[in-house]
Amino acid sequence: MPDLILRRRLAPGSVPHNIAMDGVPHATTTESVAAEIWWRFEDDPTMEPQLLGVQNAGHDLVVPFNLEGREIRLFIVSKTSAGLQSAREVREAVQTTFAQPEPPTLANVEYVSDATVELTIANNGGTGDINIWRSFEGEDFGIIDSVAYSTTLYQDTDCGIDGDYSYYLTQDDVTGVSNTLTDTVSGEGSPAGSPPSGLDGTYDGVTDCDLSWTNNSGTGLNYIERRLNPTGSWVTIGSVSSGTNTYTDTTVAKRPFAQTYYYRVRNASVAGYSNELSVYIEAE
Amino acid sequence: MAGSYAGFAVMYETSAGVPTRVGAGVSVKCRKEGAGSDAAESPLSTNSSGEIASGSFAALSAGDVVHFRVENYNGLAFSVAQTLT
Repeated sequence: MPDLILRRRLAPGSVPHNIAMDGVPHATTTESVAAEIWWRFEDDPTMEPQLLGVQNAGHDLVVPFNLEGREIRLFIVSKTSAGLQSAREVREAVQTTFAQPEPPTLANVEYVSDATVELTIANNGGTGDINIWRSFEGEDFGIIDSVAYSTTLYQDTDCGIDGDYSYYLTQDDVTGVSNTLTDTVSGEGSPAGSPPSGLDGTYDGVTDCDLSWTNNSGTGLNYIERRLNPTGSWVTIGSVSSGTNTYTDTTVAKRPFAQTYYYRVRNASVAGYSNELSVYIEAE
Repeated sequence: MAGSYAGFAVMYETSAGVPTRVGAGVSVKCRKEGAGSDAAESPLSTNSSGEIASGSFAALSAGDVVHFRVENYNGLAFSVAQTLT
């Protein structure tokens, strides 16, 4: 049972009015002074009203959740410098359907410095985490990170090798993908450096492959990649510091048939890869 | 007949935003949603812990929604609703 938390009482007077909600999840008040907007789900009258925010007349307040198919009841509390105005439940603003948010827009990708490409992100109404997908030099796209929906700038610090870095965005709970942008990084790679070498490993018969290699001149992170067939896409499964030369893949899954896992290691600051290691995984 | 409600605390926020319980004797009025007047047991009063103890409304039933409101506590007001059991 929620407790009753008292708010400032408003003297009788002009009531706040007209929160307008159309097909997108935002609210606009035409009240002439600053207004607090509170809300609760209409089908949950025991829910303690939550403060949506404070806004001035005519400004939009983004509703921070996707309410499609669910009514909300709004409470408007407005204030003036002379005192407080009446509170009033504005049932008229209850909205039952909202337009689905669009996926975020990738506004810009740009190399900034030190093996870093900066992405500028514009959210389009979604509230789920934004997933950042990247492809290097035409290889398959893979997710490199997930950030909060309010993120507007993201720095990919794993761009130490010259080449084309392509990105697009998806968002949890939002259908679709963003546009794709590509940035060409040049002058960053260290062509004289050597990638890791001597990759070896053993399978413990259950879920772990213990890998080891020799670090050479790479100074960035070591990335461990894996694929499950000899010609498929490589997927990065982990990373360790440049001084670390071991990694355990704890996600080996036996199947009713024998498999081969393929591994390789690369360093972020050096072009190229280690040797490719094949590990036999017997049938379960 | 007769619907029961759970106890709850009545609080306000200090200027620092700290939820603080009211004292004893704060009047909490009760009205079934949609009714034209308050319930017969209204108003209730908070105890020394600033709480409205659990109780029941003789003329109401389980499933009825009741709004508990404070109309003026040193210039503060608000309401909560509860579905009776």
